[in-house]
Amino acid sequence: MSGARFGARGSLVSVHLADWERRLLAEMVGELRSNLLDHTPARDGGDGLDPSLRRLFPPAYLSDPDRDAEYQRLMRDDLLAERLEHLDLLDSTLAADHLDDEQITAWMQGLNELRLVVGTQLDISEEDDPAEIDPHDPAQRPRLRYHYLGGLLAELIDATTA
Amino acid sequence: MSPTAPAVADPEVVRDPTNEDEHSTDVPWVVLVWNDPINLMSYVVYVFQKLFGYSEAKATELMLDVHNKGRAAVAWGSREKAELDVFRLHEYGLWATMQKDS
Repeated sequence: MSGARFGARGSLVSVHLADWERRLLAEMVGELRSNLLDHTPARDGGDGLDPSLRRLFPPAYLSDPDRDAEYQRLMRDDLLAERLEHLDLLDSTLAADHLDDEQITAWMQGLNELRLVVGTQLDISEEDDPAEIDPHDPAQRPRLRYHYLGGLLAELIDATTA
Repeated sequence: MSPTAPAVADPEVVRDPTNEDEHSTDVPWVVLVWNDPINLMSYVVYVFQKLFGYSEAKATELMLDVHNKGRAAVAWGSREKAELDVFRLHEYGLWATMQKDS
């Protein structure tokens, strides 16, 4: 990878993404937003949730189904609203050349969510090695995206904590 | 200090004894973060620092506990505080749960 894609600039982070990267992110954010709106049942404690979204709405109480159902009833709508809000902020700043604190947080949460969904769909393991991926095999595209998102998020964290 | 209950002057005084199970500081709740194959180690360290104000060294130690032992306790408090912490961790995509501290 040539050149840093994020740079520390005072309290801001500068963004140096190629056009194809911004287009790819816009496409993925759009897909996730539609998926969230179509497949997140409100207040039902998890039934009917699209399996790939399961990691975005985890249980709060592991061994107490009643309390967890109550928690999900109270909090799931808020969590969905938060997710849509920062996906919107990520989407609306994809063309930006620098990010402020709030935008950085939205990027981190959004990139991580995209990664959680793709990783869940792939049932990815910690040992998955991107070097083994044939970049010309269309079937490997989700794996490529998964590792692309991980690299991008890691660089953003580095720039933020530099 | 409590962002969720600013109107209560002194929660120690007004605590409802019939609700002791839920509110007693003698029976605190613990917030656990569980290992998962997806979240980046650097991301987990970043989130622990940002949400709980841990030093980088402490946040790294907790992240390594999650990674090596499968889970780590990252916060304690009343049920309300624990639920808020769990919500904020879920916002960041971490796999967090809460239970009574034993």
